[in-house]
Amino acid sequence: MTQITRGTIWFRVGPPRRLAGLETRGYAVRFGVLLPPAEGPARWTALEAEGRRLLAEARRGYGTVLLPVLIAAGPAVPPPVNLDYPWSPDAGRDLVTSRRAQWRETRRLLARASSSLAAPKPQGATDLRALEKRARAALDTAVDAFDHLEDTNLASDAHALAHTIAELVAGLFGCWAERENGRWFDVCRLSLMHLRVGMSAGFSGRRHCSICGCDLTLCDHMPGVAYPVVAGRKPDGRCTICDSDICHTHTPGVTYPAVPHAITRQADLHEISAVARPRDPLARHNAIEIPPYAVTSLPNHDAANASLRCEQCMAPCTGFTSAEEALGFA
Amino acid sequence: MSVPAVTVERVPVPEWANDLILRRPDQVDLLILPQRVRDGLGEYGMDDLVGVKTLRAAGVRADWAHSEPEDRTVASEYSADVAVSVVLFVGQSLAQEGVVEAARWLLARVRQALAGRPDRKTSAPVVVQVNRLTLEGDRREIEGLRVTGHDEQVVGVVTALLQGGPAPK
Repeated sequence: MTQITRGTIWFRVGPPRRLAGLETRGYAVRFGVLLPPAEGPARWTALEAEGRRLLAEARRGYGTVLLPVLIAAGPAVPPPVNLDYPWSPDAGRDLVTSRRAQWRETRRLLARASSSLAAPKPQGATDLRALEKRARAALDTAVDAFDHLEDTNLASDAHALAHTIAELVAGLFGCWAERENGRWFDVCRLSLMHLRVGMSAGFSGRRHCSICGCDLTLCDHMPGVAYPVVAGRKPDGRCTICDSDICHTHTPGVTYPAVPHAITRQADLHEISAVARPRDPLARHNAIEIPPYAVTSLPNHDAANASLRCEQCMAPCTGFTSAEEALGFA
Repeated sequence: MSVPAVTVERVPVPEWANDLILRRPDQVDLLILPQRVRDGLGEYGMDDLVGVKTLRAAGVRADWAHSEPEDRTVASEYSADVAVSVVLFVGQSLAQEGVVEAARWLLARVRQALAGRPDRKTSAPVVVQVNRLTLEGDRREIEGLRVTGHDEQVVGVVTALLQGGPAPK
C-alpha cells in the first residue's frame, strides 16, 4: 500500500486507532442485495446514486425526529453545531459541557411531554421509544450514506449529518458499549464510521440477474446495459428497480431504465481481506473491542452489572483512521 | 534495461482444461475457460460472463467451457494482482469477423480496467491466455500461450494469436 486511503476527509487528532490484538465483528459480504459494480465509472455512478438516496433518507429521518423534539422542548434544544471539525481542546471541552446541559434540559422537557400525553395517547403524541428507534435508524442511514459517498464531494455533507444525528441520539437517549465474555465492544455507528476499514470477501457462487431473477449466465440481460423495467413491488415489498424496502422514488406501474446487477443468494466463502475500499461499501465492522487499558481505569469496570456509557458523539470529531493505519501499515 | 511492453510465454494447459476443451472442440468457435475448477465446478469471473454474452450478441459461437449452468459459478472480484484475466480456447473455425469481435470485447474490457490508473507500468497487469489446437502429424495438441502486458498492446498480440499467428519460439 502506497497511499493513505482515508477518503476525502482525513484529518486525525492523536494517534491512529489500531486493530491489532482486538476482537472485531462485522459484515464480510451481504447476499441477496444489489452490489455496485467492482470498478470503473459504473461503480462510482452506482455508489453516488445510492449515497445520494441514503443521504436524503437520513435527512428526512432526522427531520421526523427533530420535529416532535422541537415541539416538546422548544428553545432548550441546542442548535446544530460544527461537530464534524476538530476544535481546540479547551473550546471542545466548554462546548461539550454547555451542550450536555442543554440536552439534559431537552430530555427532561421531552420526557415530561411524553408522560403528560400518556394513556390515552392523542394523535401525534411523543412516543419516546419510537422516537429513539427512528433517531438511531436515521443515524444508521447517514453512516451508510457516508460509506457510499466517501470519495465524492458529498462526503463532508454525510459526515456532518452523521455527527449531528449522533449527537442528538447520545444527548437524548444515550449510548452504551456492549459487553461480551468480559470484553467491552464499541458498537457506535459514528465511531466505527471513522475507521475506514472494510471487508472484501473472496467467494464464488451462482449469480442471478436483478431484472429477471434467472441465472445471469443464462439470461439475455447484459451487465452495464440499461433495460426498460416497469416498477413494482416484489413479494417481500422491495422495489423492482432499486431493491430498496422503503423506495420513495419509483412509482409502481411506471417504466424506468434499470441496469442488471448480479445478485448472489448462496456462495462458498474462500477468504476475507481487510481493505480500504470494499466491493460492498457496507461490508464493515459493526463491533470492535475496546482496548482493555482504556477500560481498566474506570471505577467498577469489572462489576457484573457494570455498564459503559459513551458520550463520544457529543464531542467534536477527532478525524478518520485509514485502513493502512488501522492495520499497522502506516 | 528496458522492459518489454507485452510478453508471450508458453504455459502448460492443465489437465482439467484439456478435458473441457476436448469435449467439444468443433461445436464452438470460442470457448471461455474458468479461472480455476473447485470441487468440479468451473469458477468464472464477471469478465467471462460479459464476454460470453457480448460475443454471442455479436454472432460469435462463444460458450462456457462448462456447458451446464449448474456446473458454473462466478467468483467475486477480490484480487488486485491482475487487472484483467481471461482464458480462451480458440477453435479452428473462428472466422475473421469473430476475431474482430473478440478483439473489440477485449479492448473495451482492458480500457475499462485501466481507466483512471495514472501509472499503468506499475499497475496490475492484463493477462489473457489463448489456448489453441496445434496439429503435429495426426496428433492434435493444445498449446497454451499467456500474453501479459499493461496496456492495449496486449489485445493486438492476442488478436494475432487468434488469427493463427506464430507462437514465440
